[in-house]
Amino acid sequence: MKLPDLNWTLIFIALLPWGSMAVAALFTPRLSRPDLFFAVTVNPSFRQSPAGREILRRYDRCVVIVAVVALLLVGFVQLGTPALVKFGLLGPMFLELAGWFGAFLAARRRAMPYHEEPTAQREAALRPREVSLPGGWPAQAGPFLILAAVFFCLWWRWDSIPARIPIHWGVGGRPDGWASKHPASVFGGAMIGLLTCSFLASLWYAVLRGVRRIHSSGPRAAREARFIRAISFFLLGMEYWLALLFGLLSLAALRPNPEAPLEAFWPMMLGQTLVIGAVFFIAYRAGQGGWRWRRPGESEPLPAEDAPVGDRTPDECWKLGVFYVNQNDPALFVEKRFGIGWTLNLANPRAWLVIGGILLFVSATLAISWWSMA
Amino acid sequence: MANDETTVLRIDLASPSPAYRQIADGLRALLVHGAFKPGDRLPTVRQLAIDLTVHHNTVAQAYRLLAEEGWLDLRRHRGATVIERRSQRASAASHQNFSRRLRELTARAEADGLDAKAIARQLDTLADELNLERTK
Repeated sequence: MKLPDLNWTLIFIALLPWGSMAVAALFTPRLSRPDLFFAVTVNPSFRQSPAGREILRRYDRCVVIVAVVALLLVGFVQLGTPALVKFGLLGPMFLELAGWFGAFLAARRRAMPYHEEPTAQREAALRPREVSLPGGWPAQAGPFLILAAVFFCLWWRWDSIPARIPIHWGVGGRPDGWASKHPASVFGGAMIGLLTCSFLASLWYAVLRGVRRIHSSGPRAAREARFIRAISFFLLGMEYWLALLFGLLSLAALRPNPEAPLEAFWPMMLGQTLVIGAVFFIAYRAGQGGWRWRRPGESEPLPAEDAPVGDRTPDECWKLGVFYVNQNDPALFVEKRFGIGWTLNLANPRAWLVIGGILLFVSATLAISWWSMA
Repeated sequence: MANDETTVLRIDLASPSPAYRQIADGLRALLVHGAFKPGDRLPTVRQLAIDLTVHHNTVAQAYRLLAEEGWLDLRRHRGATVIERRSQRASAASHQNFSRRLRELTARAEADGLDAKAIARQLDTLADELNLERTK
């Protein structure tokens, strides 16, 4: 029996987000702070109780079923027409995302009866917070210098750029989108890289300035600081990676044979896989807010509190467990209750400025892409 | 500045005492015991409000109170700076006020279940600490 002629590169590209999402869905509840269970404040020991285990088991079962259905759909799409293969992979992704969110909401509903009132104790370190990006400005300038060098190189060798240049690459690095030589098509990629790096750096700076520290003393505070430092370095690495990625793609306009597949395609895919791997490693090692990040010799378990500490936010302000709306909280960024990182306090007027900034960034990126192709 | 353990401010939002008073009292206790030296900077109003999950005005009110007492210098966008404070000569009213508040506090402690011996022990410890500071 002859096996269907499948496009294995496309399958790899499809399986990367599918697998990442499935693994993330299974791990996320295990990374939350011990006293937060599906975005509900509970006793830290609840997770290990029969009721807690049952909720987690049912959630896992639901996530696995949805992931398998999405995988079957990925396979089914592969057997379809080329158009279906090209655009039909979004369906399984959305299905997986929707199934994951549904499983989360169901688990949250089951956890709600076990809610406990978090402590009303608050603590703060009495020293001005140092808001510094890792490596200082010299390290932060690196990605921008790389892109500036790319701009300069393209400008310098403008005459050697052919009249028709590749601006999009398909599976295997084969060019499948072309544009005529124009400043928008030549500099568009580097411009998007520049925008993305600026966006990442400024958003992280805003997070560092506006985020609440849950603990201010002891090993928990040390873990939290370690976590923030790790994210800072990861984002800096990410900026360098994106600058290289967009820089290389922009310099592809200078290749002597633009029709040939991109040599750097597989290294780029490998790099992308490593980035995803790094995200999982940091998430698994640190847990939300760094609570899992124990150094050798550090005391464990950490001293117990009278009541769950949670994340210093009230349960009732978490809409659907993921949207935080609290007018009485001056914080702009708060820890996510489900997942790793921070989210916005939507009741803070400045949150809408941040959302506006994100939308502006997305629109600018799309506009540059469209302009390059037009 | 003192080490991390002594420079952490703790408040209880469930306490009947208003948050601004808890912040001012907590900071004053640290200032009196020399946890900060003149020139040390405290966190900005915004940062402290975020960490304590209270309104900016609550922290600003506490800082203003301490500034009026001569502990802090408040400048826009520079946060609060600890300043050298001249030792005050206590008036008769201050003595009376202190005595009244101490009695109220011990009465409250007794009402909360602390026995007289435990309270006396605490007061002795406090007196020893104060004498120790004076002889430094």
